[in-house]
Amino acid sequence: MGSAMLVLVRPESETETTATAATPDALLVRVGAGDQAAFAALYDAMAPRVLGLVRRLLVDVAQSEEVAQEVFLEIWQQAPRFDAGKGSAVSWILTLTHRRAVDRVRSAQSARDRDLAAGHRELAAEVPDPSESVEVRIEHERVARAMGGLAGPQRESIELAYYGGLTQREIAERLDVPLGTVKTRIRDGMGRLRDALGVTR
Amino acid sequence: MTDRDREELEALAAAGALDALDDEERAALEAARDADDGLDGRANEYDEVAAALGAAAEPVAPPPAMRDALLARIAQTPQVRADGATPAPDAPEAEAAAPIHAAPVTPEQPAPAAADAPRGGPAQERARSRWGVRAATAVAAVAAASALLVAGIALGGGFSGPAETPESVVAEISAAPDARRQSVQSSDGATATLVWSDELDRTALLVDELPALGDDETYEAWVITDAGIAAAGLFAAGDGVTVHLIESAPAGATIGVTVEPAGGSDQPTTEPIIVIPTNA
Repeated sequence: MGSAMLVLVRPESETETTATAATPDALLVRVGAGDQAAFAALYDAMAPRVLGLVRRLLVDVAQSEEVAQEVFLEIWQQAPRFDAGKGSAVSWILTLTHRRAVDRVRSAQSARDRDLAAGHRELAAEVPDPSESVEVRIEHERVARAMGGLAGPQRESIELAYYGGLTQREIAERLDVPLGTVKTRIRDGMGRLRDALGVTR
Repeated sequence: MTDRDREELEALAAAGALDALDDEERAALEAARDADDGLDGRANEYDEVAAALGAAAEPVAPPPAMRDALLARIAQTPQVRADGATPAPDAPEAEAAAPIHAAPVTPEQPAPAAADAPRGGPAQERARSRWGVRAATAVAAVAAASALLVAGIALGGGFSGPAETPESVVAEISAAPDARRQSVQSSDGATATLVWSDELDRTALLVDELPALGDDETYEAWVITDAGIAAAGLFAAGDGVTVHLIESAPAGATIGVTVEPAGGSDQPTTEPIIVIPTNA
């Protein structure tokens, strides 16, 4: 039985050594061609970020893991449609992740959990995980700084929308302000974030 | 378009990037993006901003079982084509947590190596040609595998040690650089998929919705090569997905399954219900 394990372990570790050197973009393109080893490497690179984002919206651990699995299954299925010319793999994956998490937040079964999850945690309030990668750490601070540059009501509406999974209409009800006010806050706030984050094409 | 219309579309795009629209508004945004390249470009920028918000979330380490479960599952899941067509119906999400089941009847039974298989007599020649015919039919009937559902449930498969489960072996095979798979419809209408890696020298048979047999019968797997037909283990149907690991399947072998009397047979005694060639 020992030799069987050796046979199993050796080729995989070789694969991972070469595959982790590849960028998520390169890996996702290979996944789109049906490359299962590339999928394994992409999973290793992205799973903590996918699960981290899902957990931000869904408090429940088991539900979050379920959603993260659905996300990766969808990544596998939809990867042939990924167009590297239109955006990065990380953005593509996180966009897909957020949509799935929001769908789950809005589903009836999790309705009672959502008040718990509804975006009240400030970005900077989370204790950084010392093991997180430098890249994620930089991204975290870059976004925290950009969010810090928003007017309070703009930041509140964007957080309730993105991290809370609420629609604009629900945000207006929760804050007891007109819907048009929420729309304006989100539009202006997103415009400022775009400038602060240097997102232009 | 008035400035006010433009502002409203921008607001729609900004909220859409945050997934803060209801279904009707989302449909309106999609239609507007299709019709207006300028708006689409702006919406892409907002999508990038939203992704940055997502990238700032604290990473959370997933449980190790999730990786094995996913790798086993994608081996069974068809991808869309780049043109957007879906080759096969997806599995219902509600079943995402359905357990994978392996039910080896005689888990410790060593599968004889194909090289040790008895040389075929006339009966086996007939059997082989029959299998050959069925194999050709099976290849013609290859259907995209339905998504077989694998969850992170450890099952003692007795294959080669306590550290392995049938699903972890499927995951290992699937992650191999030379992993291959082949799906066929069984004569019972079940979807059977073989995943294998010649480099790892490992082969796993996964069957979706394999009918349960009576106590007096068993499923038996066979490895068919030019050297003959070798028994490759007995197994029973599981709930959901049945996994059977096959040892010593040489490159290019054909894998078959028959229904045999309880206890198994040395050579197949019935028509195969599943035939999967690995050289197709």
